[in-house]
Amino acid sequence: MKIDPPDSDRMSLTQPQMRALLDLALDAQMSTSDAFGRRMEAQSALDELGARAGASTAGMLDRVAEDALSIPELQTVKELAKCLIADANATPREREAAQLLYHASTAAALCVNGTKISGEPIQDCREAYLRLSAVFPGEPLGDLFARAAAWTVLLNQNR
Amino acid sequence: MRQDPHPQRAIRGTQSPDRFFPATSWTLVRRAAQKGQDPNAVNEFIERYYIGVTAFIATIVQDDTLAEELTHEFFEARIIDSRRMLEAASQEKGRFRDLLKTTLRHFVIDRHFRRLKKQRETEVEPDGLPGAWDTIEINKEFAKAEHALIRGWGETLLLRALARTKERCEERGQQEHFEMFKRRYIDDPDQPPSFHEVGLPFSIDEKIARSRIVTVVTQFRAVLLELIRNDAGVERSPRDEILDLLATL
Repeated sequence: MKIDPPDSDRMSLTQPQMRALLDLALDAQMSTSDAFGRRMEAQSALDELGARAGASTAGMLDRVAEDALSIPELQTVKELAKCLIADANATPREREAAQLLYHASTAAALCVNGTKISGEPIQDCREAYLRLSAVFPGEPLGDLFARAAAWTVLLNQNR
Repeated sequence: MRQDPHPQRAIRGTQSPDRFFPATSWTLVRRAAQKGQDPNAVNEFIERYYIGVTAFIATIVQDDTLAEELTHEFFEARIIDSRRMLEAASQEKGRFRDLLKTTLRHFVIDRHFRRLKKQRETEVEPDGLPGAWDTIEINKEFAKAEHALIRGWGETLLLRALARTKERCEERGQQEHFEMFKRRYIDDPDQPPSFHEVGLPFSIDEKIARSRIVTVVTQFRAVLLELIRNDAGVERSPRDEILDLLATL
């Protein structure tokens, strides 16, 4: 038997390509490691929790992040989020998603001329917003938290 | 992807029974080691290890042409002509890749270093003890070469998984799904496009683009894990094998 000469049509992979594909196989890239995935995951958890509580939460994170809601609407969202956080049957994943909605609603209100709709200390809010802006980089949600964090500095200075 | 030469059909006039889900390494070795070798098994064996063997040899000899030459020599001498390595293979003795590494090591020492020494007109004076060649001052190069072998083996697995995934997508009329997957994870892994950017040329939004890509990823993952399980056997989890592969990059 003879070994054939090489076939130049065959592809090969560079190291970054191999790394990307192996990461995929480890499930390291798709589910929650990018901001988009995390937002989708949070919205999905929120929808499950909302459905059990009889509340519609469809697309709520997006709407809050897009500055599409008025202050009274944001207050309603915040109260809904509080109810969902308190749901005794909520899983840790669902509770985390409800907390995200809570922070998103207070951050969105803050971005409307610095309106504060939560009783939490401004420093605590700032820390939460900075942390969440890093969790959703490049997403409207991350941008919302970054803007709200800037508002907390402004409010602190004016106190 | 860069183009790199290596034999697609290693032995003329033969076809692997299944290009994508071949037998396990041990089944393959048994078939290739039989008297009156099964040409499909030999062909499959060469395809599976060609990139890795070439990478191993190239790391030592530092010359692509010579590496290619020695790779062919290795397969001819140790697999096609003598079958010694295949006959010595036994699942109880450990992983097949370890046997391959040892055989390659001896082959390179035998062919390449003897050749070099001859060129320098010095006598080859191994001390005649078993394993004596292993202790000569080339261990560092061999460690690198072993990494290259594993990386080459991993590259072959990934290429096969990609080919199989592409074929499955085509069977299901999901060519665009595969194309989006390729754009997102293969074309430029250092700066992967967003799902939004991937979807644009196909006039679909990021949610649909993501969902289609997830479909392909799920298939790709299943194919790759099966290939790894087939090749590495059941002693180790595919996850550990993947972590080993990542460590070589």
